[in-house]
Amino acid sequence: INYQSKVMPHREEQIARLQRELSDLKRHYHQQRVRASITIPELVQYITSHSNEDALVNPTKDNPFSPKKSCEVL
Amino acid sequence: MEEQDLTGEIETLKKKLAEEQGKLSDADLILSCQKIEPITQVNIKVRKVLKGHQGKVLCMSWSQDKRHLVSTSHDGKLLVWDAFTTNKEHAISMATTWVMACAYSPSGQFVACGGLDNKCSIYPLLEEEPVTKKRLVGTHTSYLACCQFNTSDHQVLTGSGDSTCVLWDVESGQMIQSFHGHAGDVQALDLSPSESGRVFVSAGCDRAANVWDMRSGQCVQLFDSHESDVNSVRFYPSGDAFVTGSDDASCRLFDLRTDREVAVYKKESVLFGCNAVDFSLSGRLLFAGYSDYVLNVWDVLKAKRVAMLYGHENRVSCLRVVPDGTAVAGFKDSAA
Repeated sequence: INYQSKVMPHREEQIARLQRELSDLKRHYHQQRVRASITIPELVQYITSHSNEDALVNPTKDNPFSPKKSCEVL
Repeated sequence: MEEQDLTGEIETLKKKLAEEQGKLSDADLILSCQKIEPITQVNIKVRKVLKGHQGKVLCMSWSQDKRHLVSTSHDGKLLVWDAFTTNKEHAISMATTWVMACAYSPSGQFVACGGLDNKCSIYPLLEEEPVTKKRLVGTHTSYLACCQFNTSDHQVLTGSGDSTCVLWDVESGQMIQSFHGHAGDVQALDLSPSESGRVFVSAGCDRAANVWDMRSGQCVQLFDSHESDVNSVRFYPSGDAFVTGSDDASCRLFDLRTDREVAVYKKESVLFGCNAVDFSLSGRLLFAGYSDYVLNVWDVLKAKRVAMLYGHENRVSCLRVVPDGTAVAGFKDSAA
């Protein structure tokens, strides 16, 4: 029985997988990064500048899901 | 021998990567926000209950019209709802059970879905009998876990238990690009709101969240700080970050540009896995659904829980904030 032919494909797959993992990692390693002291204030700025429009943070009267209180004129 | 060499190189490079990431970690999100007013209360009420599914609801997706939504269940049903009136507009019986993935198309004319059949199929909602006009978009070699339309009705991105993601052309059913890199089942994906059609993030049972370049099919960033399966992933509204929810009972915020995890949302008393996450419109609130029947609402800038929402009879399996940010729908069994 030729065990080699059963074992080899798995090994080749495993090696191919590891090679891909290594090349992905190299790509990740070489990417350009920005300092957190720049990116974090910008993340926060997004929230603060959009808070007024956020109905779940600043509820408005204009809620399409709340029950209608008076009758509509059709 | 080659395997050992490769494994060794990988370990060395992971350490070097961590060092590089550490060099730019010169600010902390939570510390930077100490002077910001905390969220003291969250006035969220159950407004509508959408009853109609017999089995466990596995997935849901809002229409861009901010009023309709689609939900799919373990018993093979797909329902399209008018969330204002709670009326069911469509009911489609699928040929498969465990429909884990569904998505509303940008135009509102189609819904895509799939599950244990390993397939992603699309149904036209404007037809008299959508079920007769069903079309196959693509097939994986294991279950379909998630799907989303890519910027238009013509392309769908899928994630599967076979550990791959694939971008499909709807018309031809051809694979446009495939994404290999996860070492376990893919559970969730989300398309970038700012790099539309160019970047998406996926998460899975290998505890990792992968960021992908859609043109090249390559994984450009990988974050594996979770301690268990990652079940859900959503981009921050600006596109510069994303949040994950995991079986390790935590949610984590990853900053793409600084290439690091910048916040963890967890509490000693929160012991159960998180299955679903979404942000409020501004990104200030993080809604997270857990296996202990609760929806926890976190203040993203303080990493503190600000509310617990009950109202479900069983675990929250999926949730989504409506596109205009006015409501959240969370599904389990039948209630929203």
